[in-house]
Amino acid sequence: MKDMRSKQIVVLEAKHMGSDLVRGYMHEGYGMIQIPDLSSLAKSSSDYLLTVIVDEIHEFIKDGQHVVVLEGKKDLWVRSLLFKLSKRQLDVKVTKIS
Amino acid sequence: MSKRVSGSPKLALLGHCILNQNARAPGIALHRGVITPLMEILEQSHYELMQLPCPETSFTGLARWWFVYEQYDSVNYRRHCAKLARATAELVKPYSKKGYDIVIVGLGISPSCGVRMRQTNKAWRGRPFSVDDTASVEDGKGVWMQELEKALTSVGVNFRSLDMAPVLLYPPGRVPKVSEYPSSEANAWKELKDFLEA
Repeated sequence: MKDMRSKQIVVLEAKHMGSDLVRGYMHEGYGMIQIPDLSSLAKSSSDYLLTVIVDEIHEFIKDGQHVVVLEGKKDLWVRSLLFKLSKRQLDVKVTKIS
Repeated sequence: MSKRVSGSPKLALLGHCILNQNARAPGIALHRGVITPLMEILEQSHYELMQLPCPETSFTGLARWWFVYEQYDSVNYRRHCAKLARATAELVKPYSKKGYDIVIVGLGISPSCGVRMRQTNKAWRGRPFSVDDTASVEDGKGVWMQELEKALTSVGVNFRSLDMAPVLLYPPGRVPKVSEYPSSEANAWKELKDFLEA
């Protein structure tokens, strides 16, 4: 059976959804992982949800998928995510955005 | 994603693989990354989007078979879903308090994300064997949808839910012929559009 998955994923904070850059990734066939704004949660819950996203990314990398993380200057959740990824020595491409 | 200009604001909780088909078990994805026609409908209807986590990927990884409901309906998988659901519900609660109209869009016949039906097979256990493409289904929600809806209800979040018809998600041989879902792509898109614009 044909596998249509692109095996390319872009990770971004929810506030960047709908931007031209993200639309570009979408039309190139990238899948998306959205990091929601976790600021309304207790620290234990936000840390847990972020860890689950890291677990997902870990599995995609194990599967040989290409992962790009978009990092804006004020993207605090992305910064936390990158820290968690680096602790697991998981290699992702980081693209700085304005 | 732009906000609605007038009326109640809207939030769509999307099954993870609507935005990321790479999370699907190998061999059944019809789209490369994002299901773009649905994104267009959501944008036209002025929804804010929240992607749900994929409990299947974080629990079983990508090297998984085409599981059925009976395999995911285990104590530990359900516990995983319930914990995720509680954290997600806390995230959604402020939207509810602000008066958002909240919808869940699931994935038809998924053993985790199905809303109307889920794949079932009582014989899938033991030594791996070749299966045909035809999906055997039964009425009922997937494990993740059950736990998510329970958690949202427990924190007082009102919502509507619908799952995308299998004809939009699976290769033709794996689309069950059941009356619960539209059988043509055109009717399936219309059903989704009507639901989202209601």
